[in-house]
Amino acid sequence: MKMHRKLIRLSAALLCLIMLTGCWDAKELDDLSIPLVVAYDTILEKEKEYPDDKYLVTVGVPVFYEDVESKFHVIDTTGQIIGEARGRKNTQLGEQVIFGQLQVLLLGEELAKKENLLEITDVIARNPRVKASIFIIIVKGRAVDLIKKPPHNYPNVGIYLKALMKNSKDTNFFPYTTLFRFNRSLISYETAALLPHVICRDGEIMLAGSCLVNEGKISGEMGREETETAVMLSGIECKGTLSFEAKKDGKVIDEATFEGRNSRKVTLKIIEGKYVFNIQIKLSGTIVEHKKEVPMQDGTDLLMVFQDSLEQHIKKRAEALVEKTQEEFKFDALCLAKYIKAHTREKLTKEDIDRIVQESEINVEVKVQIRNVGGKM
Amino acid sequence: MEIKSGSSITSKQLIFIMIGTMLGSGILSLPRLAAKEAGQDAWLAVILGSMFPLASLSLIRLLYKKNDAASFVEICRKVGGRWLGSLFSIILALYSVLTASVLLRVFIEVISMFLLNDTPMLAKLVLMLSVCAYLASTNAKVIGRLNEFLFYVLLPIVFFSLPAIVKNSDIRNLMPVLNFEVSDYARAALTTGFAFSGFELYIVFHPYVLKEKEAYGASLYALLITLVIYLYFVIGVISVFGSELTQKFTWPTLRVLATAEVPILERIEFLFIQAWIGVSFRPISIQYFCASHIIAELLKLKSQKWSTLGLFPVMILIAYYPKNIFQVFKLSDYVGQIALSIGIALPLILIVFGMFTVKRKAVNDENA
Repeated sequence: MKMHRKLIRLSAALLCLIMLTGCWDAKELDDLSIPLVVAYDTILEKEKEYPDDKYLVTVGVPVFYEDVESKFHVIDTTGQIIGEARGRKNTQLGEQVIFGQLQVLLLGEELAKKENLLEITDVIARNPRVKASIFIIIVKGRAVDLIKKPPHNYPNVGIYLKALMKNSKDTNFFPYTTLFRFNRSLISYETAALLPHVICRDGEIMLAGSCLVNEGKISGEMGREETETAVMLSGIECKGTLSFEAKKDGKVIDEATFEGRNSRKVTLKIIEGKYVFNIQIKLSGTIVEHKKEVPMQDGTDLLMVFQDSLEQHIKKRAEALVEKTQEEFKFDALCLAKYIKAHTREKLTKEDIDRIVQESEINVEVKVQIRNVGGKM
Repeated sequence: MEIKSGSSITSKQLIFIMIGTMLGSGILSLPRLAAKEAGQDAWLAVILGSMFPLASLSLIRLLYKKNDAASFVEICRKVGGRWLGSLFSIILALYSVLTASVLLRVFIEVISMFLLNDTPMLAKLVLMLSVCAYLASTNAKVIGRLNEFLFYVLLPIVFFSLPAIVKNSDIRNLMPVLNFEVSDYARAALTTGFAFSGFELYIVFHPYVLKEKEAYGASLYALLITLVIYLYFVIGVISVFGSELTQKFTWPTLRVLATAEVPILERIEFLFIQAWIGVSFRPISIQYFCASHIIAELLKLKSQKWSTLGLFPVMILIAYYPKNIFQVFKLSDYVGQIALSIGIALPLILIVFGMFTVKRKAVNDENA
């Protein structure tokens, strides 16, 4: 009995320790502002508050007060380093800023081309309150302009961009790069990170392509089609649609749209000192559209034709991107470094990895598996 | 000193006590320390590191096999005589005080970073140590029962980390295997061996086990369970981050949790910390208990509460002393080194002394 009482007392004391946040750390919700989106840019001359300012940091905070003019408060501040600019925002905010719900980090294109993004994002990565799963997006033009753009049918740009990034992997073959994946690519794999590129066209914010960030800076840009291929080659698993021409004996017999998932398998062999990569792209899904009114069951080989045609279509695009990687980019844009590191006992530098990627033999094989043809035969 | 009947523990409880002493902040920082020394082979370093506690546990078993005693202080006095024996006991008590203080400070550093930023350090130290003091003033049986109960707190910890590990891990981050020099592994084993510190307290708890024959087996079980848990976190974290990125984070295990969002719960790392409090307060309490217990026995105090109370300000002072996190980690490294030395040297010295004492006794008996 005595022992039980002791245990109960001890448990109660422990519970108090766990549950009480303490008088000093008590926080009222009314005293907090919770940014959803942050944007970093290089500064324009006219924006400088002090002559030495280099960066413009813009924070988008939803406003919870009723009867206010705007429900989304955008604050921009300047500073010599990001932390300084971020700190200056407190002179414009009535509440304490909590970064725990930060969803999206926008980076202006010019900044991403000039500065090392690992250094720029340090202030975010160092903050334990910021989740490692926030999305990083490169903005065509300046990020500050995008953050101030009210999106249609969404409360604010932060909510819209989070929804766009969160769902893009289920609707598009586009990269969805989080802070953690960005750091892992650059630091652990020493490969280039593939970041989504967003533009604002005719007042609409949309995904336009992607950027390759090598050694912290943008080193290559890709349009929609190349991005899709890069996603498949890099093994970023998504679900999306692909339209293609169905060819039989070199003749176009139909046009079709495929919807499905991608995956990648890489095998690496070192033959007489030469690295030979075999990248197998797997696509599995459904034909959601084909133009010609030929019933599928009548042409028993039609499905095979679609499969072969899509395989050839993607293979051609993939081989073009492999060539571009080896001859134009000249760095690992295909996320092969982790395979090189896993198979090599020597200590490799980033230069070694890039050289291996340039000099290696990279074979691409595409395997398409059409499982279904939709609700119409 | 006779063990009070109410103070004895079962071998099962010994398992939970031993796990409680060994598992603590190592869960959060071990992946970084191990990756720094052995890169992707960190898991191997953890296995090698467990050889030190294994050696220590075996020596302690041998010590108690050769010398029958009801407590650690008694065995020290038996083999070393009154003064030298007391000195051995004091060394272990001082070490426990130092270890408990450092563990307390490491715990507070984590809490300060993630939960209570504005609460003054002293308030946090006093609050936490008060809970530990309450437990430390009890007896081995209470310690055993509570550790048995809190062992299951580990389950949500493992459960919370699973989504992030399953979602983001890549086996290639652990390859190539065996890619370091033997000397690297030796150094790494020494570093990871620190994470098991607390194993040396088996020397205090051994006499309390009801069925003494089962004690050594129970301590080995505890070591094995601790090793498996550490391996789970080290392999999990490195397979997600890769060894290079793992080294960049102060508490990589917590960072891994921040890479995934779970529907409804969302930020699982904060739930993990809540559960981790239940894990990390145990080594502090057990070390505190051992120090209080040894001092109470040495000074022949009627109640262990007085020694617990007396040690309280000393531990607060030690824990409050480091000025920044680097000093905390440095102190923590020293404690780890002392743990390995004490864990192996102390039972070894006692065994050697014991051999001479037995011989001397035999000669005296013969002469008589």
